[in-house]
Amino acid sequence: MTQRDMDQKLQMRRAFWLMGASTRLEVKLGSLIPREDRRADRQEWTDLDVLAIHYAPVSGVTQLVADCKTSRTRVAERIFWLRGVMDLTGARQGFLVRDFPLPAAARQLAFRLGVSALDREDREALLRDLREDDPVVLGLLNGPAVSRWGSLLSATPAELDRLHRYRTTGYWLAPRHRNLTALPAAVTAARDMLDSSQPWSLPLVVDLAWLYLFALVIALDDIGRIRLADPRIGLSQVVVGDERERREKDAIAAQLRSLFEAMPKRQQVPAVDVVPPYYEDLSDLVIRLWRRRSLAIDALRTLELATVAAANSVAVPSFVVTDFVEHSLGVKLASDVVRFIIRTCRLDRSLQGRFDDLTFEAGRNPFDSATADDSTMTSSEPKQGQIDLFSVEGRQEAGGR
Amino acid sequence: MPVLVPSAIALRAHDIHQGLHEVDRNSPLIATELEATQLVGMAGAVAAWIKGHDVIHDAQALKVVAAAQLDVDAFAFERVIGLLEERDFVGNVRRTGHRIDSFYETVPEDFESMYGQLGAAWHDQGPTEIEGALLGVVDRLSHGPQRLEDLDIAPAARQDVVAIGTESQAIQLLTIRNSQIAYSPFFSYENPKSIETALAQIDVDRLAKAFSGVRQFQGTPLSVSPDGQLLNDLVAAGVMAGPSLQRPDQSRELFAVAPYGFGPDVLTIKRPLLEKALAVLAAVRMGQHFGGITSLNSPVALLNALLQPGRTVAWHSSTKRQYGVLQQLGIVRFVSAGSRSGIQLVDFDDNKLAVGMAIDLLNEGEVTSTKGNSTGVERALLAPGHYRTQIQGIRPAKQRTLIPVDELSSLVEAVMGWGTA
Repeated sequence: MTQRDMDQKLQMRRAFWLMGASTRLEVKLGSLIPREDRRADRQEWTDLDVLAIHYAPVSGVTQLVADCKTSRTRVAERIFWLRGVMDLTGARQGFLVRDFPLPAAARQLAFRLGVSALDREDREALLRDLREDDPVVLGLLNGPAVSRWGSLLSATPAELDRLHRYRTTGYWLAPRHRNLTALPAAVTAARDMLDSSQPWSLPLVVDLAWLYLFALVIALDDIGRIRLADPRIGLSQVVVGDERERREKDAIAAQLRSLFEAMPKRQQVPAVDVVPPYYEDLSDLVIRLWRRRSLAIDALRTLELATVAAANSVAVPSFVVTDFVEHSLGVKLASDVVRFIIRTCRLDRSLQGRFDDLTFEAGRNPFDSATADDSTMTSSEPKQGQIDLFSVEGRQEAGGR
Repeated sequence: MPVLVPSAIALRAHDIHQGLHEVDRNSPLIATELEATQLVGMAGAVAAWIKGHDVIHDAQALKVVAAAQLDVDAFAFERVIGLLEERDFVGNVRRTGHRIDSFYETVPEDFESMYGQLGAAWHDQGPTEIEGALLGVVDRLSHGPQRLEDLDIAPAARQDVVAIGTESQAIQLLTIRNSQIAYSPFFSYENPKSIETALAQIDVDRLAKAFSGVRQFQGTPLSVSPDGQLLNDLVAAGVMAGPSLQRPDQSRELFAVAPYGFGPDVLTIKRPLLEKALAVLAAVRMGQHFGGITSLNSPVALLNALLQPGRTVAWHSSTKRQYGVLQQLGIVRFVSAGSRSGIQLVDFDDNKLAVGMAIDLLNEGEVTSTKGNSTGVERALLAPGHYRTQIQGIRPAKQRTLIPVDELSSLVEAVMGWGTA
């Protein structure tokens, strides 16, 4: 990959960000293969340059993919390839991104296959329309900041390689619902090596939180299909499976319990259940997310910014100005996901405080200090200049500034 | 010490805390012997209030509400939040010095888990023997009356336990055939069917009729009911729930409620939901009966409208910024357009469930489908003043009680299976 390829990817990342999505670069797609001596147990099919994700309750999870290359050759093949990747990942839109003017025939093919073709001129027009001068985009989603993030995460000790393999490949190979339990397992296994005093620790944990939240929003889609009125039932099916699978797992659990009872007594016999020990916490997290699911994308975007911000030792700025109070709930949801991972995997709790410090400005009400001295809920009339933050118009007023 | 599960400990601590309303908490006995229980009780009250809010932007405003509505002393507020922080019920607590500015709410969704963890916190506080015995007795009596002498309390602690229990209204005493009987108002609250069954066994027609009347009209305001005195006496005796609201003339109106039809969990571990429901019920009854010339015709229609997503109801032109009871309880928020203001449900699950339960109670005795005039209820909902839970209604009702002891004795005897009828 050349630097110019990376520039294209970052441009598309900024474009997707400005369109309201959250993005991830260089996602590997592949599958596990039978394990043999001295050979990897997984093989890559291909990798995606840019994956963008959006979530809205009305449409569910929407994915977009972009193929960014500077080479002039094999454009038609890449368009066919991109169509295949879109089908494989369920992406609703695909973007073929090139630096040179695209041949008319290639544009025709892209159109026929539902691919958006963007040469340099198209890309510049897109970014111009989207206001690439957004301070968030300029401050955090730029080349040096993202490079610093990449360098930090590649400087982790070798003992964390397994966790990194999970982040970069295992996560994407697993059936999606499995990541709700696979990610905590992967992090817990690496817990002792996750030294919270290291500069890579917080960016890594926040990146893992991003992955977990992505798994959660996919689960939200499934939960809505299974049992809209009771997300707990939906979550149970997502984690355990349908009634047939539950019975199978119940039977296995019963056999395991019998086996443990028959074994010579040990100090600690593991509890055997069809759900993991942190299921109650997971259920709490899903209910919170379900209740505020229109803000899940805000939470995902907060985590995306926060992992880069943590690597660059800067605070996450606010990126929504239309409804500040609602947005602060999105920031808080991001904090909930980080808290869940820290609690479940028993990581150093100071990471939570550092994350909340990092996102404090993003979720803070700028009028707190102005109203703190004299605002009470019992006063019958607001004092001059005081904003009633418990009323809708107060929220809008605060958010609009 | 009682052998109570942690959730029962915290639930009873919450009950005792509510019952200590209007009691001098600095009296030597309560201040020294009830510290852990009071702290956990206050934590339970705050946890139930903030549950579902996600972000508390202005903790100082919450402090004022907690003092006014939840009986959480302003000086205890920081300690209560500190306990909730230790239990991971709140996070990202922002402080300026000791003063708490804002925090995230992370209270467990499940009430059993919420009270369970608070019960563990109670143990961590190093409770005294007296408060352990008190919680055990209150919990025991919530399952049925018992002779005072039979209560499992160490002799040295007996006097103090009974004193605090009666002071907090959590233990009621009655003399029947020269024997002192202890019972709990939570028994009738948590076991309304038992009271109904007992009423069927005793020959006190007017009591049975009064109960039946309340079932037909849940939230009966005592001051306008022909059975008002009797209902007052039943509330005073702790055999009927009587949440109350302050009226515009500053007097306190009690509303008689018999919360039939709910599962045992709603009547015990999920009681914060029921308390919210009773607050909503009391508020709409206030609007219905004390709304002046534009009294509310259909509380049910108004509450059904309130449940619709984003729907603003109860428009009013002059109380745009006035804070009301339901707003202070975190159930509604204000919306304004021009000079008019209205209310919207703060739409998280507990609030929706509570309003649904209030509708169920209203529907139990009424068939209401007409669209009501909302002006009356708007005044009630927006009225400043304090809401008091059912246990807090006992003390004011007692000040007006006239009930003959023998009638109440008959009821308690029937509940205990000692009836002579």
